[in-house]
Amino acid sequence: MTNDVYLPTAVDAVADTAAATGAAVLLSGLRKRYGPTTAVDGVDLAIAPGEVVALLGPNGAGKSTTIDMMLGLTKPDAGSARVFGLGPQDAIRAGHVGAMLQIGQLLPDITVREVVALVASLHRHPLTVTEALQRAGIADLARRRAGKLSGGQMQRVRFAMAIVPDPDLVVLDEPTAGMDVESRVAFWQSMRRQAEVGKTVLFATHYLEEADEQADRVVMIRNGRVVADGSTTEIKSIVTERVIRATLPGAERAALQALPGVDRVDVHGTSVELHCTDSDAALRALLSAYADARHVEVTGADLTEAFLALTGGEDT
Amino acid sequence: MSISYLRLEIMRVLRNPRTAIFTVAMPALLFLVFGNLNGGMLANISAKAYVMVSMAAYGSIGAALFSAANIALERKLGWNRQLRLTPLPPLAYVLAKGIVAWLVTLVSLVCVYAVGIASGVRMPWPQLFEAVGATWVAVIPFVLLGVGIGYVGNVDMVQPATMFTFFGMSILGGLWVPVEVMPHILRTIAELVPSYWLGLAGRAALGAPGFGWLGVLVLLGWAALFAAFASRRYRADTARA
Repeated sequence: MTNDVYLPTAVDAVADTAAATGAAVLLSGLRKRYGPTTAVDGVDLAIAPGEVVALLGPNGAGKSTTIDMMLGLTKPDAGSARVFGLGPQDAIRAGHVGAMLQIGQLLPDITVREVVALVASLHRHPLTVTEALQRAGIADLARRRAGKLSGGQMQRVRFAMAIVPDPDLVVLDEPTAGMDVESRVAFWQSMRRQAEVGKTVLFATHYLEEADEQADRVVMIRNGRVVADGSTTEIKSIVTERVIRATLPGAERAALQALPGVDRVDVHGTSVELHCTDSDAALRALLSAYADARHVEVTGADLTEAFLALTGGEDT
Repeated sequence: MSISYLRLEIMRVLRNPRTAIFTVAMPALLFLVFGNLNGGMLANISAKAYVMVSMAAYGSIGAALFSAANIALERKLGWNRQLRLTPLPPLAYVLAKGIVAWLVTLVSLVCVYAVGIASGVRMPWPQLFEAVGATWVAVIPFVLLGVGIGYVGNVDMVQPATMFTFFGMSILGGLWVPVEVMPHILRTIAELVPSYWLGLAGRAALGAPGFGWLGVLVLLGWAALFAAFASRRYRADTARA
């Protein structure tokens, strides 16, 4: 424990709750500036043991800087990062955290087995090297030199390095960057195996599908701030808009726009898309006005739309 | 210190021996070219032994600076960042680099002495061992310098910086042209640089005068200076990673 002067703030409330539940990760009021740019602008985040959390945001949102501070690679200007109640470097030394970052190549002249064995040798209770290689799905690459690996293979070696300490928390920064589809599928299978045995997983991504499919909880980050935090269903429900799609030859855009509950209309040839604030009213009106409407479907917003709404439509 | 990291570094040198062989074999070859002297004495020892000691000292500087290029390259790769995700203390990495470079200097020294003895340098064994040992200890400031250079700037800068230091030190310190035949002014300069005392440490073991406590003090001073330089550069780099 530190003897810092304590001021009662919202951050402390987060800290108290998390301390009571024994948080795996606890970030309080993290801030980091690089010159005139504020990379991270007050991030509070508590992650419970066993959660699989996606840190989702566009490039440059502050995901990597947040992770760097969580791992003690970058010193925050303000705030603190605790991992299982310890400072980041102590948590790494104790073998509680395994991490896989975007930057940081491997030595090209040593083999996959050697580099994983090196990491294992530095920890007290590691997995066997063979076990780590198998879990990462790269047992067949054990004797290959790091310089001869493809981008996707390299990422999986780094994953093996992250899990060989048998850590309670695995932190992955854009883990599938540079992977082809096949490696991606294999990678997430390995990751899920970690989660199944109760490990905490935090991964940063700018792929919505990954966050949607892999995480229990999504933390959206934009301009260095958390803009949404919840289960994927909760995040999706932030966007109340629903969309009606139908095949409707010869419909006038203006007439469709005039239907009750319709906010915006897109016409693509014979198919129309009605973005609705009240889809029930719009659907009733649509069907009574256009008896020839076919293939009608109503969908809720997907994570993409929620993401765009929350991050202001910046490029993903 | 981490034994497993040191072992990995040694294994890497053994696996890619090309650079190391060049570093080690070059001074021995130069001795064969320049050391082909019969008779003649210089500073109370045979001219041939003098050249042998000088070439060994020259080669040991090159080997001591061996770590610089590797450190710079690995910084560029971001390997140190990868290591910071492990419990390995950052200093253990630096120590491993220094120790490996220091071991390469020993191989380099032994090579030159072996070639020297094979080509007719006659000295009692205890003196030869003492000369190798003295040079090996006296080269430590250069090992520290090599680590420091590895943390200066980028890979492209480190290569010329290493060469400049290597040749500059060798020439100024009288390892190419003996100080005994240098003009007075150059001789005065020679006595200021650590490479002069590195050469003299080896010669003193064979009976040349003038090393004494002064030599020990000068080398200790340079070691302290280079250690401070290396630690400053290293800290600046680690804060950035």
